[in-house]
Amino acid sequence: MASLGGFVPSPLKPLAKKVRSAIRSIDKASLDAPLSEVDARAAIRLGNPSIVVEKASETVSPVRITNHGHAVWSSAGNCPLFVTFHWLTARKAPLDVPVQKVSLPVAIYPGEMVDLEVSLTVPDSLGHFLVEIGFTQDNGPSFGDVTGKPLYLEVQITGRNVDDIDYHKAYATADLTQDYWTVVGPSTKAEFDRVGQGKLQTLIENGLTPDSRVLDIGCGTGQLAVPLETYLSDNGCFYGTDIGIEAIPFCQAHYKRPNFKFLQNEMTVVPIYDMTFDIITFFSVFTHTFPDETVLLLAEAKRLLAPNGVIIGDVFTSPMVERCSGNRGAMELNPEHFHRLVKLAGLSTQMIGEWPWQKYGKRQVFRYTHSK
Amino acid sequence: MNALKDTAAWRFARGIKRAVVPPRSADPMPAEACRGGVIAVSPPVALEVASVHSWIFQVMNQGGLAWPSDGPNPVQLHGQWQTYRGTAYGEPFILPLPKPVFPGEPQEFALPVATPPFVGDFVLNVTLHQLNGGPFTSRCAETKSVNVAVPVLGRRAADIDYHEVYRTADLNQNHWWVVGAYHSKEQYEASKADRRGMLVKCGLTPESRVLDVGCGTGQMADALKDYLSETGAYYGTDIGKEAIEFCQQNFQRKNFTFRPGEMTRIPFANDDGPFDLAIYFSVFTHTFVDESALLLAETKRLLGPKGCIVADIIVSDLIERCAGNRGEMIVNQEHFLRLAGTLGFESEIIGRWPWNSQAERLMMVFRL
Repeated sequence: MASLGGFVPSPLKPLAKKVRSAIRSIDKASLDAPLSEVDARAAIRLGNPSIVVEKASETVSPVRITNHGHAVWSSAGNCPLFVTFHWLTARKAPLDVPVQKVSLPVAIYPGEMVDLEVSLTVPDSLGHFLVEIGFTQDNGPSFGDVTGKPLYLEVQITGRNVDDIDYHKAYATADLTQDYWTVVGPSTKAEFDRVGQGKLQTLIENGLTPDSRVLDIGCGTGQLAVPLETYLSDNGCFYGTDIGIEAIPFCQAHYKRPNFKFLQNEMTVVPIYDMTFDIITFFSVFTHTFPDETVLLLAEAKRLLAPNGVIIGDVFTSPMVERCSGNRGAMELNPEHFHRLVKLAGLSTQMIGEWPWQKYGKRQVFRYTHSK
Repeated sequence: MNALKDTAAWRFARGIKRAVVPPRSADPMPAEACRGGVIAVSPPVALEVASVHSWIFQVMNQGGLAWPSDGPNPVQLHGQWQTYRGTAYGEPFILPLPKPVFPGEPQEFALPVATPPFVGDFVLNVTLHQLNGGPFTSRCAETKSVNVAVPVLGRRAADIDYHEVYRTADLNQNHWWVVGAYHSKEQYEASKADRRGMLVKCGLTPESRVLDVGCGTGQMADALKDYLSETGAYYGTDIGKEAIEFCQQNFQRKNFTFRPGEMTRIPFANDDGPFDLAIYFSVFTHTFVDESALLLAETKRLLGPKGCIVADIIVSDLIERCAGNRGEMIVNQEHFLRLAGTLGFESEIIGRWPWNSQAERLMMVFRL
């Protein structure tokens, strides 16, 4: 029928189309034999898919398929044909996500073109990925675009919008007199105190003494201030800074030793200019900042670091991420990219702790010192 | 009574009643009827510039009266784009409710909203209003409006795969077109002197050692091939392998070297330096800020003590850090200069041109 199209006089074309679709609705096209090489020829074109997608979501990807063979393509019959979506890493290694097989919603006749709106299931991992699009026939061949070049859809997966953090809003809506631990993560006060003790231990292992001058950037409601209040002598001191304006008066009211001071910092500026510190901590800070912000924060810390001082800070790294992906809820960085950026700030790193994070990532704690 | 309300028959009858007599309000509703809120359901994580996105808003009526969508005083959603600094961007717009919203029956509506025509860090603010009654939030303190921060990025179709561009271009026929800014070979030739003149103002002499990062098909090499003396030198690098091969064939002076590089690495050893002048023309307009910082760090390694970098950037106040894609990257000027400052570079603006109504293209000099 399609090949007759050229012979139908143009005023009759709408009528011809109606007749054709009526015939097609009766004659349910099905594929009952494997496609031969000449029939397994397709042009695949991408529409305008989303530029960034949320992890573990569904995203609609427009795909245009043209049948350049001589057989009718259908997802019905003994040898049905499916469109396949195969998730790969940015370096084209397979990802352990099942290949998504999508049925053709209608039969595609030779020479005809169909636009599909395919709902793709996005993996639960941040990063930069490729989706290879092709065809597979049950009991038949698998094939891609007629040009022979694999067709890739580039996808950047970021964190879910609902997991993003508006830190100022978190503080503005929290009742710190009732509960000052949830706003910085732990679900109970006991957990808040336990994590604080763990942080103290980490710092002692990295040179903290009772006489140390400590700067805690991103101090929150004082998870580190609590253990240091009893640990530090009067010769030492503790400065806490946070971008949350509500956190500062809370800390000032709770940690009242004269050598404990709290002030607000901006996202990448720490407003201290007249002293240096032996220990500077960034606990769960770089896990929420973009890499360029992390560089600026590390540069600020370097400026405030005594010659033999130590900076401690944790970060999420993942080999699936080209540079960085995520949002303020959780930011993941490519490990090599991260290390080059730290070096750029004039610091050397040494890893002091590592835990798995999500499927492919790690939470890594580093100590940073002045580059020799 | 409540058990009756759960039956299908009740809902059917109610549906007919609502269809026949849709709610109307002859006068603006009293303040207590304005209790409720609007939230964005699965808001987008990023949007393409100048696109139209179908946002899903859930509207909740927690007052005692039905909110009409029609009649003389309909309830509407008012939208307003804001910059990341909280200032209004563009005109406020009305999103009419497609259907009335009854108390205790939250409704989801898919409503098309035009995305700003500039890349940037924007916030969409949506509030409930009644025509002739004003905003609900000013009348009832508990009424919730919604603010969604959403980065507006360049169009995917305008993104660049630089390697692909070079693979598919015929460099012998149109080597000036692939690097962008020229309409014709004549214009390309004529602007050579201008390009060289700008570098002379930055201290270029015939004896200079020049590093050209992102040398492309040699627009600077061409301008310098008859200018540099035998004691000067030119080193060009580009991530486009084809561009380097083209340059190696077309600029065959002994003291002209071309080598392919990576996105954030310069393929020359410290011994190849020190350079007096490093050129980044239309490089930082295509790289993410963290990549630009790594390139500046690479250059620092190769730059002599009196050397300088000449580079162009596109800046806009709509942008908090950087926004765009490899097709066009726009940065916050202060943020970019602080990153350069981290590496010890001082900066000076030596030229500026309007880029679009919201952005400027700056020609910068960076010195250690």
